[in-house]
Amino acid sequence: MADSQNKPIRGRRNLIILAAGSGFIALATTVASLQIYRATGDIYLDRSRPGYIFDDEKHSEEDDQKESFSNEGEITVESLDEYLKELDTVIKRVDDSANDYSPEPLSDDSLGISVDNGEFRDDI
Amino acid sequence: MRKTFALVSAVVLTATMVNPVSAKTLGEEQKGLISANCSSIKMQLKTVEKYGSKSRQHLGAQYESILTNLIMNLNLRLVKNNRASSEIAEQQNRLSSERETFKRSFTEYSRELESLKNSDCKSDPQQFYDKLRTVRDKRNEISDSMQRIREIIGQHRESVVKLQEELRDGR
Repeated sequence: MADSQNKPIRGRRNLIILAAGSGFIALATTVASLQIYRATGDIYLDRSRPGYIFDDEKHSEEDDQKESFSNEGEITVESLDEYLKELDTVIKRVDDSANDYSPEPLSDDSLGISVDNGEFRDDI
Repeated sequence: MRKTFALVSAVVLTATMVNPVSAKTLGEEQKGLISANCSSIKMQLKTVEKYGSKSRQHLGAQYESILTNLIMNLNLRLVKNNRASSEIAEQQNRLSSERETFKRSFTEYSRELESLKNSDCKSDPQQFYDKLRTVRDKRNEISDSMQRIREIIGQHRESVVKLQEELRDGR
C-alpha cells in the first residue's frame, strides 16, 4: 500500500532527473562541438556566418573544375603530357593567388596610420 | 649561483631576441591617427578578413586537387608500372605536410585578426598596434608557407619533365 503511494512521487523525480540529464548532455555536446569548430579553424572558413556573403564568385567557379589523372594505365610520354597539362592549369590558379596574403593591405599606409615626419614607423 | 644567474640571463636574452613582436612605443601623432581612424581601420580589417577567408578556401581547394587528384594518382600509377619514384613520393609527403602548416598558419592568423578586430583602437591605440604587428607576422607566415608549397610544386613539375625525357630516351 505504502509502495503504491510512493510510485507517482518517484516517477516525477525520475522525470526531472531525465530532463536535467538530457539537458546537461545536450549542453555538454554543444559546448564540445563549438570548441572543436573553433579549434580546427572551421569557424574562419564558414561562409554561412553573418557577413560572409561574397559578391565575387570568381574563385568558386574555378574551384568546381577539378583536375584529375587516372591511377590506372601505362606511363607514357603522352600520358605525362596530359598530366603536365592538368598540373599547369592548377599551377596557374595558384600563381594567380600568389599575392593574396601580401603585407600591403595591413600596412600603415593602407590603414591610414603612417607617420611621415620621422616619428616611429613600423610599416612593412 | 653564478651559473644559474648566467643561465637565466641567457634564457631571458634569447627570448627577447627571438620574440619577433617585441613591444615598441608609438609616437603621439601615430596614436592620434589610430584613434581618429579607428572606425575606418576596423572596416578595412573586416574586408581583409573576408578576402583572406575566400582565398584560403580557394587555395585549399587547389592544393587538395594537386595532392589527391594529381600527385597521389601519378605515384600510384608509377608503382603499378614498376617505375616507383622516391623523388615524387617524397614530394607528395612534403606537400602534404606543408599543406597542414598552411592550414594551421591560417587558423592562427584568423584568431589574431579576430582579436585585433575586437580590441579598442580608440582608447588604447598602443595595444591595438602591438596586436596589428602580431597579425602582420602571422600573415607573413601564411605567405611563406604558400611560397614553400609553390616551390614543392615546381620541383614536382621538373621531376615529371625529367621522367618524360627518360621515357623519350627509352630508359
